[in-house]
Amino acid sequence: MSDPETTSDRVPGQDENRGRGSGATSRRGFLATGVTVTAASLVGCLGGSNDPGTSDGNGNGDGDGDGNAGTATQGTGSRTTSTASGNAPDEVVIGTIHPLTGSTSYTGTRCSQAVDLAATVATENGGVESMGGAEVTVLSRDHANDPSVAGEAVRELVDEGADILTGTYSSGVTAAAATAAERQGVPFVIDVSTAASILQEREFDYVYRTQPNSREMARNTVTHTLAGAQAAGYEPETVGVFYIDTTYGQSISDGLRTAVEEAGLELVREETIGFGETADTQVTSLREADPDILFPTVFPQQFMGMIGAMQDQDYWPPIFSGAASAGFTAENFGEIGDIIEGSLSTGFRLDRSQERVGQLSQRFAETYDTAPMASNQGMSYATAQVMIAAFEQAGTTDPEELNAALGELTVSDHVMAMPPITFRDDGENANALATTAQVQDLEIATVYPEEFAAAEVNTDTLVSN
Amino acid sequence: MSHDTRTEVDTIPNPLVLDPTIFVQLVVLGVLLGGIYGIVSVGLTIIFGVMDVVNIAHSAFVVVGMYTVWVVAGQGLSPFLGLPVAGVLLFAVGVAIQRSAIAPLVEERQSSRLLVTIAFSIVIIAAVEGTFGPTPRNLDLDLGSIAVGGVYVIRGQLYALVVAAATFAAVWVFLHRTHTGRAIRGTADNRTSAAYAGVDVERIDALTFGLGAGLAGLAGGLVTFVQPFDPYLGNTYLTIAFVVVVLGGLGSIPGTVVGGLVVGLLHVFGSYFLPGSYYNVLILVVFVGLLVFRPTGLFGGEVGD
Repeated sequence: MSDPETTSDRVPGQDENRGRGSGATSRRGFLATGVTVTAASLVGCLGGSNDPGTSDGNGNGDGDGDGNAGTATQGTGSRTTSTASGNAPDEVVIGTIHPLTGSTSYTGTRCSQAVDLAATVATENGGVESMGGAEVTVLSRDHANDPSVAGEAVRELVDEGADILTGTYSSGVTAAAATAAERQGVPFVIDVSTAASILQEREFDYVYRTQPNSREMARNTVTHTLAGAQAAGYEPETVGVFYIDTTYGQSISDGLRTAVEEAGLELVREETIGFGETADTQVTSLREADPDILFPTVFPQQFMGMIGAMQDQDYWPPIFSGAASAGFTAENFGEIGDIIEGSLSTGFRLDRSQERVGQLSQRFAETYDTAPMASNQGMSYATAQVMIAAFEQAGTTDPEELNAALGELTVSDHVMAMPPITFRDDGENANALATTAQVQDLEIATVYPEEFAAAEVNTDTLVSN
Repeated sequence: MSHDTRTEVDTIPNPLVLDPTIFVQLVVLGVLLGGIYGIVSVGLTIIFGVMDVVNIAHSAFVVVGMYTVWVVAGQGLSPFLGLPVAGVLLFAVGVAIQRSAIAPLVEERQSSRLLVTIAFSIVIIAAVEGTFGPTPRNLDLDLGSIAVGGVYVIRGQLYALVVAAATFAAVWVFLHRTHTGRAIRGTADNRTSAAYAGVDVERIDALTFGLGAGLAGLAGGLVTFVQPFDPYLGNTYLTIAFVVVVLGGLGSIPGTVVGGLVVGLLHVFGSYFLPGSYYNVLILVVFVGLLVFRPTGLFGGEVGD
């Protein structure tokens, strides 16, 4: 029984004599609402498995944080007229599925726009020559980081005439979309989704991936980091991993666990962070474990939070090496300061040695009133190049012919810093490559592998004292 | 989709061998975090206690508070000035929403009022996203930390805790030492009797909702001192606020303060010792366990179901 005196401390009292009206709410009702809200939030979190897939110019580093989500392409002009007959269609249609709303919509919208730009450029250059100059058009759908809508998005796109699909910047959604595309018998070329399990734990006939998967990214990360350490005369023994608790983060950490063990290093601490969390506790734990190398795999928001927490606790590991992590952008470096100098970052990257990459990036910014293309958009653009090449090789929009073309083709003329794109039997890009860059003078410069290096690794700044 | 779980126990800190400095660090972090959780939750408990409204729009008010401080700071002003601006702005918004959309439903089912708050939450978040974009923002404060013997007290969180504590005190004084505050408490205890006693219950409802919204806005402003933010961060804090409010006792401000601290400490220690997001399981286990033995929460009185 409540004490009347203590009752006065409770402004919103809950005594039995409140004399409520007909709209009275019980504690049970409040609890029920709270449980519902919590469950909905958890479902949202489970569905929100996202991956930036890269460390260079990703996420809010794609621009100046201007928050311009851009516009989604919702289909242009006439529909595809793909037929089973020998007549070439007037257009070929690429269907894209990306997050156009929600917390990752900034990058997702830009990825969709990159595909649109590739289609526009291809059309300007004469279209699909083997189909009499068929125009390349794009239809877009939003998945809002919800895997449950992926199947519907696939069906809608196919019903509206999409001949080939791509997406999705979310490993969870991609897994669902790939399954739906497989059922429909429509080729699906993954642009940005890193989880190796998508293609490694199930067999698809119609699904391909252009970017390196999580195991390849992790292996490249460890290999290149150790190469840099060796060049600096440093012999690391212990490793710490800090990752966002999503499918993306988990898949990279799984790959790192394997790669670290293969390299003979000891994993001494793993820490995770969720959306909306601060990183202080995790940094305390890492500070206590004191690994020689710290591999973060996080989104831009968590990256800045982690760096801030590390600075607050006066902690910095000897080697800081992002593993397919977002946040490694010049804009962030300016805010972070010199502490980030010498750090490494591994992920797929635009091949900026190509003059046209700069031109395309600038055109992208002007066309869509957004920041220049970054690595994720580059991968979406390159994936579109692959799909257009498949149309060219197949000479038809027939899904079986298109699928066969994808399985056979090799695309050398693409915008990414990686060898020619060609697919293995399991659908993975046989030549997928994640390059490693170093922060040099608060700019990012590719240092490994040498084939794509823009600079030599700075051994003086690589290892922090 | 598989995910190899951690099986190597040496990647998880040993709770039996904990450096005293680390222990103190964790306590400090837990208290600082708990202060944030408490201030985020107090508006929710006030609105529910007086009006029987489960305010889902609470998360949206928190978000608006965040961006209000961000806008003020963007004008070259101190973000601390943004805090009262956020509080006043959200107070006005809360009063407007209550008068226009909730007051007409005072005699309707709870679900009707709930739906209204959900609608406002959706609209407000969409408006924030449309105005500022989805890209995470960060106040460029660089407040640093205070180091005491290997223990770091993060200044941004400390300032937030101080403001939160001052706010709790101010709210308590308002509710216990002012005529309006006593009217609010009287309405919370018994609306009918309060009306008979001459209290303008409708005005009290509007003031209460405004107060709750204003506190949510203030809390959102304080969150910007602590972490980067985006239009969706409010949902995270809404979930926590529900736990804190029920844990502390529905309608109890001291309970919200203590509940916030409990959840903050559980979050920090759970995050340190448990893998992944299992600290959420720890919080829920303690939450459910407490309610089993004390159904009204830490400071709650008897309630009617």
